[in-house]
Amino acid sequence: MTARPGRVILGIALVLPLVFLWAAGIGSSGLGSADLLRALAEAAGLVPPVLDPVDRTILLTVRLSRVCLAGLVGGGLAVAGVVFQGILLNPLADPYTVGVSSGAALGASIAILAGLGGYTAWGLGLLPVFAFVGALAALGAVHLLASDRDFGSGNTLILAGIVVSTTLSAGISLLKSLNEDSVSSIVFWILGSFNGRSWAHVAFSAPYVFAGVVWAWCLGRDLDLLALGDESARQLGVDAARARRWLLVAASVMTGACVAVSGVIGFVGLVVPHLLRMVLGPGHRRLVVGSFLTGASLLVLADGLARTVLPGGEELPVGVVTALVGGPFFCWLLRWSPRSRGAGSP
Amino acid sequence: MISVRDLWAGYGREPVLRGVDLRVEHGGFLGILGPNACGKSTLLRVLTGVLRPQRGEVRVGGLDPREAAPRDLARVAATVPQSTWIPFPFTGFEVVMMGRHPRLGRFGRPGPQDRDAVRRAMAGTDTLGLAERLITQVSGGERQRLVLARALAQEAPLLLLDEATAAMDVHRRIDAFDLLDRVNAQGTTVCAVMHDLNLAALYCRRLVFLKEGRIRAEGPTERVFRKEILEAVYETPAEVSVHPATGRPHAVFLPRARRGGN
Repeated sequence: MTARPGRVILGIALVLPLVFLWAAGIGSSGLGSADLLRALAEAAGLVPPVLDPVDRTILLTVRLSRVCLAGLVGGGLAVAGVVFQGILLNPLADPYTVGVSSGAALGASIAILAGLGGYTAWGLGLLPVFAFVGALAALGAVHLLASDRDFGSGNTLILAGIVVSTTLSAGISLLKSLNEDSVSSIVFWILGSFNGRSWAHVAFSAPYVFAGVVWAWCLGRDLDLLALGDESARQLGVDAARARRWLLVAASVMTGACVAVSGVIGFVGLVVPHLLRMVLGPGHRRLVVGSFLTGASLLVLADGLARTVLPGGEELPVGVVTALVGGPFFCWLLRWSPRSRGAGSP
Repeated sequence: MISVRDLWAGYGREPVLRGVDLRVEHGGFLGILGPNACGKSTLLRVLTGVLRPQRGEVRVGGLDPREAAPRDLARVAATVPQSTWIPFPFTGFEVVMMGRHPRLGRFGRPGPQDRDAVRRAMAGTDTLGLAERLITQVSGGERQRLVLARALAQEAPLLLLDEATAAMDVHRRIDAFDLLDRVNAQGTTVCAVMHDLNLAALYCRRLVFLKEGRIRAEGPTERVFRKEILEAVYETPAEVSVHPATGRPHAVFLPRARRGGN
C-alpha cells in the first residue's frame, strides 16, 4: 500500500470546498466565487450587508442550492455504487444495476405525460415524487423476485435487476410512443440535469442520502465480510442474507432519492468506487467516506463544466458530461490501470 | 461444549448426516475423520449455523445454532473454513482483524485490545511478516495461516477447523498443530476435520470416524485408531503400529494387490 488512507481522505476533503466555490462562481450575472463568500459571511452576520438583495438571492438561493444538490447527488450515487459493488461482489455494478433508475425514469415519464412536469408546489413539484415512488416500486419488484430463500446471491439480484429494468424500460418506450410531444421532455429528464433545481430538491433528497451514507458506513465491516462469501461471513458473525437485504434497501432508496431530483446521471456511481478502491484498498468504511467526498467533488465539477463548455450560456445535461468523461476514463481503468492496490509490491 | 443428538442434515431431500450423536467436552481436542462425502463438513456447517438441520438437537456452547444470532455464535465458535480464497486485496492485517468483528459494536472501531489480539494471533501463526501483504498475492499455505490467525483472533472458546492445514507445507502443518495444541492446553476446545490420519493420531485426544453420514467409531485415539476400524471406514487394508518416535499410533495403508503377498 503506497498511500495512507487517512491522508488521501483528508486531501479529498480539502478539494471539495474549492470545487464548490469554483462551481458557485459560474453564471451569467457576473457574480464570482468571492461574491459567494461575501454573501455567506453576510448571511452569517460576520460582515455588514452591502450586496444587492437580488445578487444575494442569486448566490444563496440559485447557485448555492445547485452546487449543494450536485454534491449531494454525486456523493449519494458514489456511496450507493460502493454498496452495490459490495453486495453484488461485482466491481462492474453501479447504483442502476438493479433497476432503480428505470423505475424512477418510468415514474418521471408518467408525471411528464400526465402534464405534471411543470407543476410545482413548495418549489419541488410532483416530478421528483413520482420518480421516487417509481424507484421504490422497482426496488420492491427486485426484492420480491430475489428474496425467495436466502435473499439471493449477488447473481440472483443482478438477474432480478435486469428483468425489472428491461420491463420498466419497455414501459418508458411505450409511454414515449403514445405521446410524441413528451418525448423530448422525457429524454431530457433522463439525461440528468441540475437546471432549475432549488433548496426544496436538496431538502427532499438530503435525508435519504445522509441516512444511506451513515447506514453504509455502519455496515461497512459487514460489507467487508460479505466479500468472503456467505458461509465465512456467517461464521464471523454476519447474517449475510439479512445484511445484503438492508444494504440493498438503503442503497436503492438513496439512489432513488438522487435520481428523483436529478435524472439518471451515469458513471459517478461506477467510476468513483472503482477509483477509490485502487487508492484506499477494499475496506468499505474508508471507501464510503472517500467515495462520498470524491463523488460530491466530481459531480459538482461536472455540473460546472456542463454550464461552461458551450459558448453563449447554453447548458449541457450533466449526465452527458459524466458519460463523455466517464466512459473513456473507465476504459482506461479497465484496460491499462494497475489492477489492484500495491501492484508494485511483490 | 458441543452436544448433538440424532442429527439429520443435508442438501435438498437426500440427507448427508443420518442420525449423528456426539458430545465434545470442554477442553477436548477432537479429530473428525472419514472418507470424502461422509458428512464431515456438513457437520461443521450445522454447528456454525450455516446449514439448518432437518432433524435433531444441536447445542454449541449452550446456544442453538438455528436460533442464535450469528454474532453470538461467532463469539462462542471460531471457524477455519476449507476454502480460504478471498477475492479482494485486503492486507493480511485486515484479514486477521476481521476475526474481531463479532466483538466490535455496530459503531465500534478496533481498539488496542483488538489490535493486541490480532498481533498475538499473528505472532502465533508466524504471519506478522504478512501483515502488509495483500491476501490476493500470498500463497495458499500463507493464506491458510492468516485465516487460522483470524480464527484465533476471535478468541472463542471453541475452534472448528475444516481441513485447515491442507495447503500448508509439512513443517507449517506441524507448526500449526503445535499451536493448536498450546491453545488447547490453555482451555480452548478444538474440533478439526482432517484428512491426514497420522497427523490426527498425533494431536487429537479423541477421534470420531464418520462414514455415509453415520458415526462408525468414536472415542479416545488409542482406542479407536485401530486396524479393524480404519479398514472398515476406508475399505482399504491397513497396518497400525505405535510409532517409536512419537509413541502415538500410526497407520500405513497397503496396496490392495500386495495384500497377503510375500
